[in-house]
Amino acid sequence: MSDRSRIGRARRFVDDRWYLRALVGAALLSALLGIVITCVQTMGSGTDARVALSFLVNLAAVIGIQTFMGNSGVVSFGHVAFVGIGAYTSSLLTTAPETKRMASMIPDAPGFLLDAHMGFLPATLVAILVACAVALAFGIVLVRMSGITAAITTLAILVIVRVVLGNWEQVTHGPKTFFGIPAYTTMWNALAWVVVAIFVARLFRESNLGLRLRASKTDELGSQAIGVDIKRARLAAWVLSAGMAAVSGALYAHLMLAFGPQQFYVDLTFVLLVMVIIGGPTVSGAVIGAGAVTLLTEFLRRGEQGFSLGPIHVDQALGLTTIVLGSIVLLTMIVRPSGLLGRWELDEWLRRGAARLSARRQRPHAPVHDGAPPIDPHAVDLIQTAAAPGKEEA
Amino acid sequence: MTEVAQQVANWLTIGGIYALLALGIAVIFSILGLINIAHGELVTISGYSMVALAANGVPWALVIPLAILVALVASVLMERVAFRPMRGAPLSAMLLGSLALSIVIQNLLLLFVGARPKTIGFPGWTQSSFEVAGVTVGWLDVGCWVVTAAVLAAVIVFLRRSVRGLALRAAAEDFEVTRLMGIRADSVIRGAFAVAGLLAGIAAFFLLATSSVVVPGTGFTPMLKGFIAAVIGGLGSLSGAVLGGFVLAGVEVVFQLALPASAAPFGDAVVFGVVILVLLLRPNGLLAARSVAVERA
Repeated sequence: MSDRSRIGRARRFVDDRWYLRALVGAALLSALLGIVITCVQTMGSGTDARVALSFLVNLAAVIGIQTFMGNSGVVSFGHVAFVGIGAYTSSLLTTAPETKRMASMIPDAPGFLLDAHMGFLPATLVAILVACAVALAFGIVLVRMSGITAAITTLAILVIVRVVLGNWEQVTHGPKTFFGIPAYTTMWNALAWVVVAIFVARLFRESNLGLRLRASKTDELGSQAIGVDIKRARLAAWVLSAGMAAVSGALYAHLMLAFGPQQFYVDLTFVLLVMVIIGGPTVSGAVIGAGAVTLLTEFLRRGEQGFSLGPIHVDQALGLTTIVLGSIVLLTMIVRPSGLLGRWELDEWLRRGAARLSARRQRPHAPVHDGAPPIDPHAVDLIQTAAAPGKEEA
Repeated sequence: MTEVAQQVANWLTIGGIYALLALGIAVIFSILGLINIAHGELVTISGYSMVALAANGVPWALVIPLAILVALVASVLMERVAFRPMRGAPLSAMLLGSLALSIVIQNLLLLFVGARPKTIGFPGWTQSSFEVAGVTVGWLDVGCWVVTAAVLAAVIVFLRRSVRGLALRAAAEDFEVTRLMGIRADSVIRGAFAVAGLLAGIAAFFLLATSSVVVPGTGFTPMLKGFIAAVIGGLGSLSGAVLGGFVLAGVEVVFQLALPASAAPFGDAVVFGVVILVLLLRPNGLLAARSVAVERA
């Protein structure tokens, strides 16, 4: 047996099992991310490390948003609400009881919250549970809607949670700063949480439920016609993604050590959405989009301190970063609405490239076979063709 | 009794403003299927032009129409610069594009005008009021009722009686077929954005006359309210948008009175909860539109 066919058999073995496909893809992405983070940590300056850390914190939420938005096609403005819930829950559980009992904090909170003094891991797990429970309550309503109506509902969810977090004086310290949170977030536990998120997101994407959800994104009616329960698939993605957003919130809280409810509103929503949109609707897209936006933001932020362009001197250009980010989103929407990476994951792109290369090597004059990754796009295309023959891609 | 009358007066003013905003959002949505999140920025832009004009000694009789004109032009420009290149893109792409546009405008204002609130020196009559049977009514309220009624009537006449209005309504019903009938798509869409800008400019005056200050983020809440009103009424239905404006204002006024003082800060959360319920029970709003844009959405 030749080497080539053995590789071919191994590849087919992986391709036929969705969990192996997911694990291989997630491992590749995590390895890449790990190398980059290790390089920054060992070779970069303190500023670089801080930037990398906030990138990881955002990335957990971005992967969450992508898990819902990228697979279901429903726009969500609401995930920052779960980042906020995660941040407040884990802060409440980890902050020292003496701090919470201070008159300038939340002395009137229920006893079990005042006495709680957990470690980082259990507090984060509880934060995930709380966010998932809240998401489930909203989700039961949300998944009955689609398109614009669903997008508006997610916006309403953001407003509702923001109002509650900002006014529940007893527990969240209302509009005032919640402080005294222990510093637990490090580069390595943030990286570990993000890697977990990558694996969960990728496993969900490749699973039957994820495939059904992606089919419903391509064609809602068509997928229903072949028996996809869209509500169930959407609800699963919504609850799962809220959990990832809560992780991001917990990491954020133990990194900033003090925050207020205004941190979890439109501004953060915009930044996270930019990362999701620029990358494209895949897990790899989320990672690469978040990385690209972080690099760009850092670059621009240094420009915000002031610059001179020929005769124009600007001392301080507040808002420049956001203007450029917004313009980039507008351009992305106009030129490449599917994002940098398009609809395929990194490992799928690599495989496509390899298949194209080997096809060219074997038969130099034959037309190049498009080595599409197995199962997934085919299945989606099939559904698309079955539902609407000759329908143009939107 | 006077208390009730006072609240009714309140309700009419807020409702009128919401109706103007919601109608603007609905006009665009009914034709393009686009929810323009940057609609609120028209209010902000109009506000800043009032600041600039009034500061330069332009009389108020001119400032108001000019500020409304600025909003109208800004709206048409928005369409030309951002939404026309995006035409035909998926709805979610346009939604996110309009969010980006809104953020870009806010930050351009932040960059060039600054974050500090600008005070608009409104003429005295806008702040004065009179009393009828124990009910305090501001001249601004009266102005708001009259103008809202007049503008809504004018828009209705425009939509019902003029050829352009007919084209707009036809486009709202089925854009593709309207184009096949030889109506120019670009001119219809431009018309829709012009109407939306006009309505936003008028709403801006009444909104800002009560607060008197404008900051780069001023437009967000009005946009949200207009948006919600349009949704309650049935996105794409123009009469529904007006109805939705008054319903939303009514819900807000009632909750302000009915909720106990301790729950008052949560009023907005309750209102938005009600919105979600309305959407759940009637996904297409109170007056569901039959237009194709809605079916596509």
